[in-house]
Amino acid sequence: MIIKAIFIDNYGTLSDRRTEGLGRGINVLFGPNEHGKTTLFEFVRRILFGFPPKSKKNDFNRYEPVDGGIPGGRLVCELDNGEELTIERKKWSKGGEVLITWQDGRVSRNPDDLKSILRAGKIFYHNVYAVSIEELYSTESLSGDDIKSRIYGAGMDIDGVSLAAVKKQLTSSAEDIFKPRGQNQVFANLKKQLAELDREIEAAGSSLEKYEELTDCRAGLLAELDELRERRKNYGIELRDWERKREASGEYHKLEACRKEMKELPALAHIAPEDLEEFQSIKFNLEQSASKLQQQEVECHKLETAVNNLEINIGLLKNASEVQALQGCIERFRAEHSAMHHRSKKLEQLDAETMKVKQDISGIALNGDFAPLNLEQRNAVEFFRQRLEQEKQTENVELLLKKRADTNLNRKIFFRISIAVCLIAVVAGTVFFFNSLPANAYTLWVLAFIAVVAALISGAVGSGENDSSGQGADSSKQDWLHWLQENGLKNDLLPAAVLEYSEHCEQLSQLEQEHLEKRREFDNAVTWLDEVEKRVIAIAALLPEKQFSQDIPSNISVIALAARENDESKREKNSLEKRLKEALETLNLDQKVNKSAVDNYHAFLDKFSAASDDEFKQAYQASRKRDEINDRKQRCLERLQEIFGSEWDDIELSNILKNLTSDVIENRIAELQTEINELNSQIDVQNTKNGSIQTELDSLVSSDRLIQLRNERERLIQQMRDAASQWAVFVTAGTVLQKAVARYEREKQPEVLRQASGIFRNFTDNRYLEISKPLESDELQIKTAAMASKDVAKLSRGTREQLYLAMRLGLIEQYEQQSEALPVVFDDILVNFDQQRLHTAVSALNKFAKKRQVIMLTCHKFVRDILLKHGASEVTF
Amino acid sequence: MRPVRFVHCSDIHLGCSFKGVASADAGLAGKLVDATYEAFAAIIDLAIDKNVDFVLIAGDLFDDEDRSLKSRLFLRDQLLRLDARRISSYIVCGNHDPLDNWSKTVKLPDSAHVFESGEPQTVIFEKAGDPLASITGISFPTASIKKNLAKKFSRPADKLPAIALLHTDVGSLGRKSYAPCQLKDLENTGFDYWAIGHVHTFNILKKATPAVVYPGCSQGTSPRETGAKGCCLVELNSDNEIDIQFVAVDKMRYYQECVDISGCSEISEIQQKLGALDSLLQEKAEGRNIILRLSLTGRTALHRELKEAACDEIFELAASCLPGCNLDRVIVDTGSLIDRDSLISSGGFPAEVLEESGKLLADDGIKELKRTLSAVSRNCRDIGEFSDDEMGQIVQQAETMLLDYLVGETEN
Repeated sequence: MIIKAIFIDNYGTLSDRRTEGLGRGINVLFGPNEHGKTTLFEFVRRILFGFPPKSKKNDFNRYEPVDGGIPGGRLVCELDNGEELTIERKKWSKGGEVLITWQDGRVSRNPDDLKSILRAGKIFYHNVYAVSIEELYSTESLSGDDIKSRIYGAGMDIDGVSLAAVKKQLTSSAEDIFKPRGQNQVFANLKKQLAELDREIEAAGSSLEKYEELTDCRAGLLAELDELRERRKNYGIELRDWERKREASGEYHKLEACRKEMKELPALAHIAPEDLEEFQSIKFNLEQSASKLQQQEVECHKLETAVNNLEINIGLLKNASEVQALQGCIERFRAEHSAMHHRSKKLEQLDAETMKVKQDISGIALNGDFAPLNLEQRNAVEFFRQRLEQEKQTENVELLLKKRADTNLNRKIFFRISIAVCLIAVVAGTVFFFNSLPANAYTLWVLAFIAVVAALISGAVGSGENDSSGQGADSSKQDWLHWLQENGLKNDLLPAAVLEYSEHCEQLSQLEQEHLEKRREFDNAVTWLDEVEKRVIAIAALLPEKQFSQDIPSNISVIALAARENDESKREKNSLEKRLKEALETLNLDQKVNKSAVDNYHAFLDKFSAASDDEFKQAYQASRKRDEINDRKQRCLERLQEIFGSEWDDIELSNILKNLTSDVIENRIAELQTEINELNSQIDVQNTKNGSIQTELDSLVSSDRLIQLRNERERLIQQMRDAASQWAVFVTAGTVLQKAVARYEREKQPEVLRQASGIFRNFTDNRYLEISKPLESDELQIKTAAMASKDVAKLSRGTREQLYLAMRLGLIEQYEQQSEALPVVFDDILVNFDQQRLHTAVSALNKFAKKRQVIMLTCHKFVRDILLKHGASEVTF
Repeated sequence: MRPVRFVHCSDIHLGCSFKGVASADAGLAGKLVDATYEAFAAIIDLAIDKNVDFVLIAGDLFDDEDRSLKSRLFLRDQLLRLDARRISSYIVCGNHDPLDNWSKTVKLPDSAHVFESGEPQTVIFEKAGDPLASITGISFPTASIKKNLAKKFSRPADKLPAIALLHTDVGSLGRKSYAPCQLKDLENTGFDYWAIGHVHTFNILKKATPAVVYPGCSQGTSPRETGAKGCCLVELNSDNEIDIQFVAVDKMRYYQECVDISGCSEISEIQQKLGALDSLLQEKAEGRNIILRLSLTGRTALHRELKEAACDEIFELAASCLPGCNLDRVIVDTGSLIDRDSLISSGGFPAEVLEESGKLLADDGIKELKRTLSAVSRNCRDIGEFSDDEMGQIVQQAETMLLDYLVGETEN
C-alpha cells in the first residue's frame, strides 16, 4: 500500500494542510525544523492506527490541535492491487471514528476492515516501518545484548522491551521466592516458620497426656486432704469437749456460790416487783386525792368570797329600759335645748313684725280683723281708684283720709296692745298651768280677759266716728266711702291704701300663722325637755353615790354607765354562784375519793404485815435479793444443761469437775489447738497444690492452642502453596520465553538475517558481507569482506547504525513476503552518514524502495539533494 | 412396634483445621476453629429438638492422631446433653480417631456406647423396657485398616430393625482406602440400614433393603468441600419403610469464585460486580459464614493498575465490597487489553510466546514442566504436587505475565 495524498484537517500545529503527489519509491519531504514533518508522520500513523486516548498515563505527545477543534484528516491510499481507497479519521474517542471509502463506492466504518488491510499492528508499524534518527543514536549506548535485543525486538513487535531484561527479571523473581538450597527466600522462610510451628504443635499435642497426669495427681492430693481433715475433725471434737469442761467448771462454781448465798438470806414474805408497783400506785393515788381535795376546798372558799363581795343595784336593774330610753334621748335633748334660744328669738321676732304690721294697718279696719281683700273687693278698689283719679279729688280726699287715718291709727295701736297682752297672758297662763302653777295661770287668764274687753271698746268707738264723718262727699267719693264703710274700713283710705292695707293684712295673717306654729314648737320642746329632766332626776335618785350636774345629757351618760356596770356585776355574780355550786359538788366527790385511797393504803400495808412504808420497802429488798440469787442459780443450771445436754447428772458432773483444775483444762486445750493449727497448715498447703492443679486443668480444658496451631499450620502451608505457585509462574514464563526466543531465532531469524545481510552489504559497499547468528550462540556475528567474524559491539557507531537499519529493512522484507506492503518512513536517518556512506545508503534505499513507498523526512538540504539526484521525488507539504 | 427415629452423622472431625485458607485475619481464624464444634453442637441440638431415640456416629469424630483435649471434652459435654434427655449415642471409630487414641481419662456418659475393635458387637436399643432396634458396629483399632470389615457383619437373629454402623470406603480400591468394601458386601448382610462414614459428601448409595447412606461430614474444612454439609434424620420402622432426610448443620461454607472484569474500565465497575457477588453468596450460604477465595479474571484496561497495586490494597478493596464474606485471598488473574488475534496474525514475537505457551499445555509439555516445578514440592512435602488444573492456571498466568512484559495495551 502506498499513500498518495495526505489531507490534514486538524492535527498538532498543522491544519488544512494538503500533501499530494506521493508515490512509489522514495518521496522526499523537505522542510526546516518545526515545519511539521514529524507531525505529518505521526498524522499518517494515527490515521492508520488510531488516535491515542486521552489518558494521564500516556507519556507521548497526542498532537492535539493547537487551534483547538477536533483532530482529523484523511489519507488517500493505493493498495498493491491498484485499488484506491480513502482512510478518514476524526475525533479522539475510542481512537477516532474511521471511515474507509473504496474507489468503487464501498464505505466502511469498521476498524477491523482497516486492520485486515494493514495487518500490522500499531506498535509493529512504529517499531518496524518508522525509523528515526533518535533510534539510531541510541544504538551507540547499548550493549551487545541490548542491541541484539533491540534488533530482535524491533521485529518482534515488542515495544523496545529487552528480552534479556525480561528473562533476568523472571529469574530474579523466581529466585526471590525459591531456590533449591536457598535459606533466605520467601519459601525458605515459610518453611522455617512451619518447622517452628510443628515443634509447637508437638508440645501442645501432649495436652491430653498432661490432662491425664494432672487428673491422677489431683486424685492423690484429694485423698491426702481427706485424711488430714479427718484427723483435724477428731482433734476438733476433743477440743470442744475440753472447752465444754472449761465452761462447765466455771458455771458449776457459780452455782455453788448461789446456793451458799441463799442460805444466808432471812426468811421473809415474798414481795414481787408487781407488789411494789402496786404499793407505789396506791401511794400515788393517795397523795393525788389529798392534794386534789385541798385544792378544791380552796377553790370553793374563793368563789364564796367573790360572790359575797359582789353588790347589785336592784332599782337600777328594774329601770333598765328607762335608762336605755334616756340614753336614746341624749342627742335630741341637746338639739332641742340648743334650739330653744333660737325659737324664742324667732318668736320675739315674729311678735315684733306682727306688731309693726298691726301698727301699720291699725285703724284701717274698723272691725279690727285685719282680713285681706278678696278678689271682688280688689276689683272694686281698683275701679274706685281709677274713678277717683279721674275726678281729681285726690287731695281732699287725702287730707280727709289722713286725718281719719291718724285717728284710726291711735285706736289701732291701742287695740293691738290689748290683743297682745291678751295673748301673752293666755300663753303664760297655759304654761304655768301645765307646770302645776294654777294660781299664776288664773291670774294671767284674768289679765287676758281684761285686755280683750279693752280692745273691743276701742274698736267700737272707732267705727262710730267713722260713720258720722262720712257724710257730704261727692258721688265717687261717696261711693268709695260707702264701699269703705260696707267693708268695714276707714273712710279716709284711698284705694291704693286699701290695696296696701290688704297686702299688710295678708302679711299679718302669715306672720300670725307662723307665730302660732313656732309657738307650738316652742311649747312642745319645753314640755319634752321638762319631762326628760324629770325622768333623769327620778333615776338619779337611785344612784346616790354618783355625782350629777345640771347637764342632763351628762347625767344620762352617768346613769347609763352605772347601769352597764350594774349589769356586769349581775352577770358576774350569776357566774360565780354557778361555779361555786359546781365546786362544792366536786369537793364532795374528792372527799369520797380521798377516803377510799386512804382505806386502800391501809389495807395494802396490812396484807404484807407492814406498819409503814419503810417496813414495806425493807421487805421488798429482801425479796429482790432472793430472786436474783435464784435467777443466777437457774442460769447456771441452764448453761450446764446446754453444755452437757439434757441428760447431764449433777452428781456425776460434780465429781468430774471437782477434781479438774483450770490449769489441767487450759493445758489440754492448748495442746489440742496446736495440733489443729498444724493440721490446718498442712491442709492449706494441700489446697494450694490442688488449686494449682485445678488451674492448670482448667487452662488445658479451655485452651485451644493445639487447634489454633494446626489452623496456623494449614494457613502457612497454603501460603507456601501460593508462593510455590507464584514461583512456578515465573519459572514457566521463563521457560516459555526461552522456547519462544529459540523458535523465533530458529525459524524467523534466518530469513531476516538473509535479507538484512544483503541490505547491509549494500550499505557498507561490500565491506561487510553477512550477518549471522550461530545456533549455539546468542551473539550476532558480522562477516567481513575478508570473511572474518566480528562482534556487533566491535563495530563502529556508524556501521552499527547501518547494521541496525539493515536489520529493520530485512525485517520489512521478510514481513512483506506475506502481507501488504506499507509505507516506510525515515525521519532524517541519513544525517550522520558521511558522503560515501550516504551515497551507498541512498543507493541501497533506492533498491529497497523499488517495491514499496519510502517517505524520507529531512531538514537537510544536502540529504534532499542527494536523494533527488538518485531519483527520489520531492513532495511539497 | 413403633418406628425408631435417629440421627446418623459421621466425619465430624472436631478440632479439624481448615485447609487452603491463607488469610491471617484473627477473626476468621477464630471462626474456623469453632466451626466444627458448632456444627456438631447443631447435630446435638437437632437430636434433642426432634427427640430422637439415639444418635449414630460413624467414625472420625476427631481429626487427629494428635490428641486434642478440647475436642474430647467437648464431645463429652455434648454427649452429656444427650444423656440429660435420655438420648443414647452409638459411636464407631474411624481412621482419624482410631480406638487406640481415645482417652480413658475423659469419661463419656453411660448412655454413650463406643464399639470395640476386633469383631462387630451388637447392642439392643430399648425404651421403657421395649426393645426397638439393634445396632451393630465395629471400630478401627488403629488409623490404617485395609481389611474389609463389612464382611464381618451379620444381621442379629432377632426381628428388630437392624442397623449397622461402620466407617468404610465403599467401592474404593486405591492404596489410600480405609476398610474398603463393595456395595454388594453391605447388601448381602441383611441389615435394614447401613450407617456408614468416611466420605465427606452426602450420598445415598442405596435407598432401601438395605439403605446405605453416607451423611457426609458435618462441616467442610477445605476448598474442595463445597456445598451443604450435615447429617441425616432417619425414621425406620419394622416394615422396612425408611425416611431419610438430610439436614444441613454446617456453619461455614467455602466458595471459590471467579469474577470476570472484562470490559471494566473503572474500579467502581469492579466494586459493583463484587457487591453483586456478595449478595449472591449470602443468599446461597443461607446465613452461614462464608470463606471466599476470589479470582479476578478477564482482560481489562485496569489490568496494569491491578497488577501494580499492593496485594493489601486489592484485598481491602475487595473486602469492603464483600462485607458478608470472610475474604481469604484475592487472586488477580486478569490480562491486559491485548488483541490476541492481532498478535497472532502479526507473526511477531508475542505470537511465538502464545504458541509456545499453548504447546506447554499439551501432555508432554505439562509433564516436562511438572518435573521442572517439582523441585519446590520435593523441598517441602506438605505442599504437595501441582495438580493438572493448577498447571493449566500456572501456564495461563505465565503467558499473561509475559505478554504484560512484552506488549503494551492496544489502544484500539
